Amino acid sequence: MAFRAQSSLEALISFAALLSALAILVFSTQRLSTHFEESVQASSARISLSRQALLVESAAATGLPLNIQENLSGISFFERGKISSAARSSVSEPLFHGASTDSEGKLHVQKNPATPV
Amino acid sequence: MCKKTRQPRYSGFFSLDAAIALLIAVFAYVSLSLILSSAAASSSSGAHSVSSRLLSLRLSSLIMDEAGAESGGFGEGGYAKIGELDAQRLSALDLGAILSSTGRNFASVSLFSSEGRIFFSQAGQLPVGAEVFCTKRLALLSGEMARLEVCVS
Repeated sequence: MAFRAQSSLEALISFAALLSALAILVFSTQRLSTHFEESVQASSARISLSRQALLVESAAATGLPLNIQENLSGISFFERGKISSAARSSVSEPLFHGASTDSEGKLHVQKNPATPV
Repeated sequence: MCKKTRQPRYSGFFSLDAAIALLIAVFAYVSLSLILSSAAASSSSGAHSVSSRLLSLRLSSLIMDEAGAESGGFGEGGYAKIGELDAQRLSALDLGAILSSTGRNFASVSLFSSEGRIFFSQAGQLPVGAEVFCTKRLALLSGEMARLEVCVS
């Protein structure tokens, strides 16, 4: 009787230890996957933003009008010579031309950011 | 008759099978974490590469624009030939100010003619082992074909 009780206690403790190890593994894997997902999303946002910066600079060089709502997506703001991603404010790209948007979503680009359009 | 009691094979808290299973789980977890961190680093490196290449392309366009030669023409303003560079305007470019606006560590501008490198300017320090991204473009200098090379890191 005592042997059976000891066996079942050991099995219970072993099972609890196994569950704890599994929980730690699952929790750590979740954190890893979250970190990985954030890293990939930041990379994607960076690539998208650098392409959009190229589009803005091309528009500035050619002088063609550019509607930001139609041509650009995911840009949150233009400020101090850079554009930042809407999804990730930490991701930004420098702009050599000053740019701003009006209330209609049209993009205004100027060579000297200090001079108003 | 002596009664034989059944002895357990392992006297430890965990059995050998459980220990091996735990070892496999830890190994799988470590492998997974290494794969994920490697993939994240690869993704980040790829994004940095694309961003740097496009930045060097944009910088080369800016330099072609800022150092473009202005020739005579009708009216007072004159006109600029496409791709024609002015050596004086190229020398007067403040590459350090441009570099500081980009937040990068290093930028350089080189101009090559058929006789070799005829102009070189750099700003910032190139970190040891850093990757350099360059854009090469055809240009004109005094009517002669030249190659503009802009690098950033």
